[in-house]
Formats: sequence, structure tokens, C-alpha cells
Amino acid sequence: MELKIRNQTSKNYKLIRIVSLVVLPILLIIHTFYFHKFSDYLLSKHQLAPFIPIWLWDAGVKFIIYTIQIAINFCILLAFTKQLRYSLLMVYFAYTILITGLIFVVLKEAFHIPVAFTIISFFVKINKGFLLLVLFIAGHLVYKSSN
Amino acid sequence: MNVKKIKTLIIKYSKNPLAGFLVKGFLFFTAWNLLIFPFIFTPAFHNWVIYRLVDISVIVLGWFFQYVTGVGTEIFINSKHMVHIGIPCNGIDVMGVYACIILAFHAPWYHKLWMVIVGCIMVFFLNIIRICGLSALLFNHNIHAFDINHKYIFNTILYAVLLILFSIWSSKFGTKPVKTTN
Repeated sequence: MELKIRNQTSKNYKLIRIVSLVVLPILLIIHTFYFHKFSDYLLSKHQLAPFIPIWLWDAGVKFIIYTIQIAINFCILLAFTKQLRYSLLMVYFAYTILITGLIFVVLKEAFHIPVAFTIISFFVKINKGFLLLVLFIAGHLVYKSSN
Repeated sequence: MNVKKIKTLIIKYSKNPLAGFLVKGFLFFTAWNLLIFPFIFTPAFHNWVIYRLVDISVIVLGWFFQYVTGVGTEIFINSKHMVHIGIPCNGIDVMGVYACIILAFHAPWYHKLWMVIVGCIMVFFLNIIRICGLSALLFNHNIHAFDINHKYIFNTILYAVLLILFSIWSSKFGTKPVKTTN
């Protein structure tokens, strides 16, 4: 029974890896060539719902864009480490940071609480760049070197 | 979940080298981005680094092209403007990220010190290769290739080289923990 579950789990892991390796190039192409166009397209769609404040729409667009970035980072980390749980840990971490950043944006825009631009840009930067990915890949190397 | 369970969880993860590395690394990233980078590194220092990058890039480009000149933060080939090196492109940000990763790792401080210095020198010279490569692409009118290389390919190569360096260093100079859990 245990062996069966283990085989099933390894099959699932294999499938997830293959899917991630297929999804990764597609996401990378979208991100590389259409990042700004896609972002501008989503921003232009604000006219469909003008009752939503522009800053909230902008925050929503950023959320979608950074979700693609997180998905790319997840695929790269999964392909590199072959560890689903570890890769998912990075995703949880990234979303925690992203949502914290969004909370700061809401505090600034909706409640007019002064939040330094440096703080908001930090939350954006850590998801936009490869900072989290680099940290988690380095973490994987640390794990390998300590064993 | 009560306080006792949270305490047990914190104690459990504080003994895990991987968890310790990730938490320390993130805290160093935060300190670097919020305190050190904006407040300690003055524009004068950033410009000094940029001028040195321009000086050396002009010498390297001179091996391949005629009439290469550098004026301030700009590089010209045959009197045509090629690239402008701004503060985000001078590599200090990457040096900081690299230093955060090295400092978060469990190794003796003297090994960390020389590795941070080696890493920063490495970033500086990789940045020169990047600037020269981008200038060459622009000289040959490959604007589309310039965009992709500027934003993605050179950054990926830079981080890949640094991670390989970190991997070799961490396997040789890291302090081995007595007991590990993951």
C-alpha cells in the first residue's frame, strides 16, 4: 500500500515537472515579449469599469502581472530543485510579500496613510526581479552542501 | 494553534540550516534594500563606479572597434552614441544581493569576507562584459536583441555565474551542522 502511494507520488512529481518544463518556456516568452503590452492592455480595460478607482485597477493589474512572474519563478525552481514542497514554499513566500505590498498600496491610496515609496518599491522589486528565486536556489545549494 | 506550539515550531525551524538561511537572507535583503542601498551609497559613489565601468569598457571596446570614447556615463563608437550607464546598471544592487546570500550562509566570517570581495569584483567585470556586449549589439543595429539581452539574458548569466560561484564556495567552506532536518 505504502509502495503504491509512493509510486503514485513519484508519478505526480514527474508529471508536475514535465508540465512545469512545458509551461516555463511559454510563460517566459509571454513575459519577455508581451510584458509591457499585456500590462498596458489590462490597464486600458479600466474604461469597462470606471467606477473602480484607477489605483485599485492598477494594483489588480500588478497582481496579475506578478502572478505570472511568480509562476515563472516556480517553474524554474521546480525544474532546478525537483522539490515540489520547497518550490511551493517560495510561492507562499512570494504571495505573502505581494499581498503585504498591496496592503501598503491600499493604506496609502485609500486611507492616505503616508507610506514611503522605498517600502512599496521593495515589495514590488522582490517579486519583479529574480531576488526570491536566487535566494531559494541558493537555499537549495545550502541544503545540498549541508548534507 | 497555541503559543507553545508556535514556540516549538520556531525552535524546530531555527535549528534547520535551510530555514535559518532563508530567514536571514530575507532579512538581509530587507536591510539592504530599505536602509543600506538608499541611504549609505550616495550618488557620488554610484557615479564613481559608473566612471570606472566606462573607463574599462572603453579600453575593452577599443580592442574590437576604432574610435571608442567615453564621456561621463556615455559610451560612443565612431562618434555614435551607444549606451548610457545609469545607477540601476552599475551592478551595486547585484553586489548587495550577492553579499546578502554570502552573509546569510553558515561559514566562518573570514571566508565570507573574501568571498564577498571576490563576488563584487566578479560582478564588476561581468558588468563590463555586459556593457561591451550591449554596445556591440547597438553598433550592429540589433535593437531587438539589445532589449532582450539588456533585460533578461545578461541578468540570467550574471546570477547563474554568481550561483555557481556560491555553490563551489558553500560546498568547500561551509560549516557542517551536526544534525540536519528538512
